Amino acid sequence: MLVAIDWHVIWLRLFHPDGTFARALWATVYISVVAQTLGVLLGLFAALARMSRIWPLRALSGVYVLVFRGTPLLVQIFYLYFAFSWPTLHIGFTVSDAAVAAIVALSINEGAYMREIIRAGIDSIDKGQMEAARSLGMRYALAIRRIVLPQAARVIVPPLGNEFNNMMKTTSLAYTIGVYELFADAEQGYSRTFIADYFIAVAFWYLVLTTVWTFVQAMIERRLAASERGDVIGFRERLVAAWNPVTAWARGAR
Amino acid sequence: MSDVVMSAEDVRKSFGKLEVLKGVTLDVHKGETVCIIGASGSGKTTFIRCINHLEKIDGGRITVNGHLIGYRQRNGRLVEDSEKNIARQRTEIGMVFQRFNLFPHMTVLENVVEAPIRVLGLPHDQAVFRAEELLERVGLSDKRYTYPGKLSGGQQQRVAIARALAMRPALMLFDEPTSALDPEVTGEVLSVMEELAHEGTTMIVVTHEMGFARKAADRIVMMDDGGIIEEGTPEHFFTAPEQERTKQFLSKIL
Amino acid sequence: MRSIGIAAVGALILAVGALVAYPAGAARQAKTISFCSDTTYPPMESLVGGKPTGADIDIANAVAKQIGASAQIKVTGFDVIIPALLKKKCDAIISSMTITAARSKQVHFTPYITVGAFLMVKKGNPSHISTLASLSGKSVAVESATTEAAALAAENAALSKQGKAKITVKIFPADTSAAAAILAGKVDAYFADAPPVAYYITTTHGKFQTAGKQIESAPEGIATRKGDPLGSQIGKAVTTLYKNGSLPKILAKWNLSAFALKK
Repeated sequence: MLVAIDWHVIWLRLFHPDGTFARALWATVYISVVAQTLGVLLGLFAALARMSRIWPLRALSGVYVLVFRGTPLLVQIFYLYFAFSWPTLHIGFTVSDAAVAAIVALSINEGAYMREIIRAGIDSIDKGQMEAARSLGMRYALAIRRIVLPQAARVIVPPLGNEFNNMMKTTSLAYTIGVYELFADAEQGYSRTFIADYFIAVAFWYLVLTTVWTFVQAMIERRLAASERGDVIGFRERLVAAWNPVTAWARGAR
Repeated sequence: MSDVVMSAEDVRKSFGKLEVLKGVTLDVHKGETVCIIGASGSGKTTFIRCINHLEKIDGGRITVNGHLIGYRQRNGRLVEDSEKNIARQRTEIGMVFQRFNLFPHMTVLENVVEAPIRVLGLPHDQAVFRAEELLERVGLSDKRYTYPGKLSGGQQQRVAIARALAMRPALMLFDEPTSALDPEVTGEVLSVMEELAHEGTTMIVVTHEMGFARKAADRIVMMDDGGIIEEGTPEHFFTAPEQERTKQFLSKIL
Repeated sequence: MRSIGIAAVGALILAVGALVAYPAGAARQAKTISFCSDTTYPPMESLVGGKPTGADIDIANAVAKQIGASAQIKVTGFDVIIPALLKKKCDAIISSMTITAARSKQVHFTPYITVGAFLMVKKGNPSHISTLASLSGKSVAVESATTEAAALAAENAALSKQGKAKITVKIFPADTSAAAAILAGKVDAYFADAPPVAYYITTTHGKFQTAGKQIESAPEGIATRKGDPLGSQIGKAVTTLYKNGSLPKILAKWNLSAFALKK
């Protein structure tokens, strides 16, 4: 069975990828990152809307999640791409109109899932935190931003990391609307040469991406846990904190 | 009288069908320390939370410094006030919670300066100066860069007191501030509160600590079953209580 | 007593096994030839009401009947259709597949029609497209793993050597998506075989036209595994169907008479 694997192709693909492959890999990376980021923002707004006293906002949030979790992502990607016009962006590299459509579709879909994750994270924060903030005269928005969300972030990061892991692999669906990403590249190699090992090589690259992310996520979680551990901050940080309100805020928000 | 800081008139509050406050009337004057005592379920915590509108009242009125709390006069009727106004009213009322509710992702110093900077708009240096003074007063200057997670309950509560005082409120509310503390550390918190009382802070304290009430209160108020059943000086209470319920209650806890 | 029980269970198992095996064997006796087909290519093969329909479907049915069997169509993506055949997911491929040297290394072909490719553009040809080279700097939609896709890749290689702007090739796994791209105005041209191009021009009533001349006319074949006797059976069947007019009749039905196999 081992001899049936074309090691030559795998070796080439792993260690000597060419320019088009690099483009494809980059496409997978930036589409995942942008779509996940926008998805988190959308999910945050949807979560706040869901918790709002204004009932139309709550209803809107409910419909949004119902529709985008209840219909297949592939359908959403196709529909968005073909029903609307999308621009091609040139921002140092080219983002095709299909890639833009894919990012939008992936973001909207992801937001529907992030809403629940974020809402659960916010809910998990003790009600006393919000009460303390408000009794100090903070308005709801300020309390959410400065007190609740920074704490909720710790709870949200692990499931968010999971979502991002999925996102990197789900971007392969963009292939169906013509985006040249990792899977498309393997496809092309395969259809030219009929050597299926292109897919083994691309599976490896997906594994690389998801592994890198696992490390990044662990780092983020460690940083967020620092304040929970109650570490005393160092002298340099003290200096910075004393003279730079922005830094102090950033540390607080971590 | 113009030196009335807090005036509650016939305050009513129900949770669903359960009527918890059945018409509470109380005036607190500038510099007074009023202790509210009573069995659990008497409504004392609910009442104090109505003062800064953490609970909405269903009947009656509460004014602090002459401002109606939570509601506005409009065309002769009372309508619920805007979130902005309520937040502003709360800046004049400081609250210390039974479970401290310090912000765990911020250091002690950051906890204390947060609201003065973000809500009052105090410049950073000024807020820090004020905070350091207060931390000095509560005896925790050396912990300014520590995270709450590393502090004992008594230390956390003292920080909470400093945090509330940083807003320079006209009225300080204490909701059973030592009930969640180990006996060894209640002393340090109570002595801070006694000092505040002697310095002329206007305070309303819901507590079971009779020792504190005897030493620091100008007036003690006994609540039972949603109403005030007895009111008087500490001597009156501890030497000659009038109501049967009061006698029963005091005999149980003294 | 127990031994009777065991015998009874054993007999039951044998009986069930025979019942299960027999129909499968019987089916083999009745002979079905399964054809892999990428049904995103009207009028050659597409799905109408969920059913595979088209000229290739009719031809597959006629060929199978000629061999004394019935045809079964398996819908398969074009970019994985050859591996599907090689992995025995089907017995043959009928999917407007052009006979190329590379493909001939993998499978055996029975030629059955000769077809060329065309570029399809908006009516009036606003981007002035004529040849593949004229697509330089423009965009074109095409299906993955087709000879058209390969031709565009080759053209891009030539264009970069000449220092000219490349063609933006949008590759789709389904031809219907490539067609949808031009119908939605997302690309300047659509590149596919003459039959689907004609189909889209007709069904969109004058919104589109061909640009330039026919490109790369070549025979298309029914593919079978190398060494499979089915290959020569299909070859004999196709010859017979041409001789007795059945195949030309099918082509006429779909307005594809022009694509009859050229000798």
